[in-house]
Amino acid sequence: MIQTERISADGARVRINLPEEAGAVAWHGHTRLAGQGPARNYSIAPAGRHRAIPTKIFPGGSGKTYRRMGFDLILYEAADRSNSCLIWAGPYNEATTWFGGPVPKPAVLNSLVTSVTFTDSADGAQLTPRNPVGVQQYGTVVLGIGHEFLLMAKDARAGRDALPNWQGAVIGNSEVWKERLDLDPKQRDALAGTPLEWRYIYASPTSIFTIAFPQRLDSAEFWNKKERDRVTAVMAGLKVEWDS
Amino acid sequence: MGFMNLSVSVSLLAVLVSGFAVLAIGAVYARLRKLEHTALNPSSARLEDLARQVPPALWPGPGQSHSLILLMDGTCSTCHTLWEAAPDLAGIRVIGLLPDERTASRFGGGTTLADPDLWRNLYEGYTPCVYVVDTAGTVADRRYVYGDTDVPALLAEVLRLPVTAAQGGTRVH
Repeated sequence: MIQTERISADGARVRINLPEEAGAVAWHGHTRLAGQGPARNYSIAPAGRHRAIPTKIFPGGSGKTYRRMGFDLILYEAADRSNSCLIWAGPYNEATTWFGGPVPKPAVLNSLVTSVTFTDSADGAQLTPRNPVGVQQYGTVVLGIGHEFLLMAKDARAGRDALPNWQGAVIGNSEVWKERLDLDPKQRDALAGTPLEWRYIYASPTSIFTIAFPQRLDSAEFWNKKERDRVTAVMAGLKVEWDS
Repeated sequence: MGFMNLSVSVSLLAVLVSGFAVLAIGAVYARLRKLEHTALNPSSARLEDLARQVPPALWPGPGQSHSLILLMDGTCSTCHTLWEAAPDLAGIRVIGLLPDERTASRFGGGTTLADPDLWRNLYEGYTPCVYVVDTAGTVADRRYVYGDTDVPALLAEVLRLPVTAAQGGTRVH
């Protein structure tokens, strides 16, 4: 069993127990800040993910880097100016916010950059409003992306409304529901009868978390014994505690 | 008949209250002015490089154009990879900066500097880091180095060299 401690984007400590069968996990995240003006989405990713933007996402676009203490601010814009983004790129993690249009005016960027504090650490990046009066932070999610699973965890208080209203199974100190994934017919037929056609929703005393096992059907052996054991081990050992 | 009758005391109180009001308005106005000059000023260029000056001990020497500072510590394996890949370049002062003598002794074959104060001055929460300092002592570039970083290409980029000039590590571990 491997216990990982992550810091969510709003500063909560999240302890995740995953069995060794789960393999390597890339930790991502998400948070939202709303104050005066529209709410802004920030997605957290491991450092260096932004390197795909100038070549794959905005080929031929422009990029500018501004050095700060402990992180870089990187501004990318598509060649046709149809989209742009601002990245807080720390040594361990990065936070990206998308503008959905050309790069905003300097005044807008100034107020955006001065409104949040970005704190990076090996356990996760944190985004905090510099002046918390009238600013709400919500929708904070810790995402664990493994080779063959996707884990989404959030604070139990924030996710309560999204739970099914019927009773789930009781496993340990959690209540668990399963929900059929929205698959295309070919995939649905291939996965019928296996645990892979479901998404599992856990409600523990401090966290609500979801695990799913997205599959690529191109491999013929996608549901052999090894795979079955792996899914069983991950499901049996998974535990999330959210300490805010 | 006392000197302090009712109307005199009420008017004294009113003077006191209005004095406080003037003070409060003054304080609010001062804070607003400060805000106008900083966060609310649209022409203040906040999206720019942080100006950083390093202590003179890390400046390039006479006849050198830049110093290349490799900020390392004793525990990271990437630090040794970086140190071995760092080239000897004419006109550039290459320094391996470490927090103490004991860890510095593990990095042979080049100029190392063991100074906790200098190290702390540059440290941003991650090692190894590469700093390029110009003749004025200003940080001209700063990069994080990872296990999969192409160090020669990175150094060529930060020092604005042709790629071939920085290739090939010369340091002996």
